[in-house]
Amino acid sequence: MTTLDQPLATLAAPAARSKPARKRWPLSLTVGVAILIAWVLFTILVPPLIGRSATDVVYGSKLLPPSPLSWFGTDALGRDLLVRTAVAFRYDILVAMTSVLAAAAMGLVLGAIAGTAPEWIDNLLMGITDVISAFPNFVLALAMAAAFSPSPTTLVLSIAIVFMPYYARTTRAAILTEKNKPYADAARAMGLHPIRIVFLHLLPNSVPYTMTLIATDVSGAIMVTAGLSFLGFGVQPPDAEWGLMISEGNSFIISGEWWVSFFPGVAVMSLISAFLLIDLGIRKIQQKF
Amino acid sequence: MAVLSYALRRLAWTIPTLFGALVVIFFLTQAVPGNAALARVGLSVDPETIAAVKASMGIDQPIPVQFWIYLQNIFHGDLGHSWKTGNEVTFDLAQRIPATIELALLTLIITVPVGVALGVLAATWPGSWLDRTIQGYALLGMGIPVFWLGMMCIFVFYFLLGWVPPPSGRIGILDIAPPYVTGLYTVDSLIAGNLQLFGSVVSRLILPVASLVFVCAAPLVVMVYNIMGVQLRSDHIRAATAAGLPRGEVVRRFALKNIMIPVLTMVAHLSRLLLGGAVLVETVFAWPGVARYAVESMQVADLAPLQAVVLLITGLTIAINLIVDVSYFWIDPRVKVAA
Repeated sequence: MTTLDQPLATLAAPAARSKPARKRWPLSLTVGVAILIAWVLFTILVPPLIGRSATDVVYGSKLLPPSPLSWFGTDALGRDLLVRTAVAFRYDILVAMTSVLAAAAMGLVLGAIAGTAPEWIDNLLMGITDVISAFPNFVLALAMAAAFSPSPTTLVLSIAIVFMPYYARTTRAAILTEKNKPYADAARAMGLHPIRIVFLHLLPNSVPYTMTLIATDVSGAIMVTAGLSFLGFGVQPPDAEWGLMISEGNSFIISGEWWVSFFPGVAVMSLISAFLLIDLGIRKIQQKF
Repeated sequence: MAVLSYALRRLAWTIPTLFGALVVIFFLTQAVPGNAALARVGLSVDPETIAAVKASMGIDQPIPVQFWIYLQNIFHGDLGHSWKTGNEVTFDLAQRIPATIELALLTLIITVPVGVALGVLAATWPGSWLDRTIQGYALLGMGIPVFWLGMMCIFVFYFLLGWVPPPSGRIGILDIAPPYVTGLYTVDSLIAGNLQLFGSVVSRLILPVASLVFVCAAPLVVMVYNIMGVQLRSDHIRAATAAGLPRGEVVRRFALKNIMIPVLTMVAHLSRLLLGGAVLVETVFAWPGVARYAVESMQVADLAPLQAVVLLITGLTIAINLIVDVSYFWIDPRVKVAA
């Protein structure tokens, strides 16, 4: 009876037994996730509670400072900044997350091809990633976003391409290690198709190596999204997006109307910090196990 | 000799990258929305005029031919003509490069010692209030949009406190630029012995440089903190500590030398971050540098300046990477053995 139970028990709770500290979640992870949840609630609840949409213009209420009536004040067109800041969250998080996921997906496929294809294809693909990495991230994203007509798709693709090289490189490196492991030999010995081996056997095992930077990259992508929109090459008016809202307040800052840009900026900071904290927390958990 | 051969090999490597970058830049600027000729002459002109303008701009040729001409021009030092300013791009750039260099160089000179010092301090006394404060700063610095920080600085230090002049470029409208020596106004005004002008120049540099330093130092702090932490747990540091050397001495004499290589790598990375940030900061502070030049021409689909600035920035990044790689030889004797 014990012979059967014992190994199972040790398998089930080795971490919990040795040190009580291991069971604790890192504080940074909790805070990061809490900020994210708060933002989701904020973006869902604020517009119906205030009873205005992000593009509703109220006449006679231009550039009102924050007051009990409108907590974040209004912008130059008389739109409520609380609602706009809350709604803009959707744009930023969506653009940032889709672009990083697209970058990871492109990187996985390119890396898998580079890791298994003939050498000249490998060299070509790695050459392409080298060229992309040669540009400063923001400058390349800016050039791409400016080159095509401004749309959410352009924005997502520009950011995705900029963040892609890291995923391609790490996937390629992981595939190169994985393809020499016994299970890969076994799959080949079974006569499976090489493409099937790459995408169903090697790639799933390589994914964990490549995903370590995903939270940091989402925070980077939020920054790029806001920066591009700030310069006018990202999200276009009248949509609500933080970078765009900051730029709408740029001409008022020297005359002291700080609130137009202030709140969206704080929003950007809080969301980026949330992802950085989540990244920190995940690292701490990984170190412990 | 080993250095030279390594440097040459490394230089040869950059050629395909640079060529690839040229291809990317060329095709990106070819795809700019709105026909470039239409953007230049307006919509309501007859087809012959448009054809004539296209021919004069060279954009009636097939794309490979255009690319070939583009390459030839670059190697002749001709970066094209900006129809927005009406000047040769090289002329415009020559006027604007010093402004960007002054901004970037000052930022880098301040960022590196500040970032290293903060990272080392935090790592030397982990868990202390100093550590916590510095970690908090690093998190904030990595999350803050540099353009927003610049704007808030303008609000506080110009509008509220009135300590600095309004954000209107490198010198005030009543100031006269110092005689050209280096192009850097801080240096030139000192050479001219004009202390009042120097003060004016510095007062306009403070906010953009401070914003960039705040943002650029943060990732450096994190990196220094991490590698310093590993260093301080290593055997030779433990041996030095066990030998009874004081903490400060151990850090200064043993640990600091070993983190210089990764710091150097980080400087290459920082320069990319810095050049990207400069685009935004120059916009906020109406700074007459190359990045603002590129953004302004982008907004009116003026291709040549955009091509030139992206090429300049990318070339600079590649060059910095090259210099950093080669300088490992000078700093780390172990690299010589490996090569």
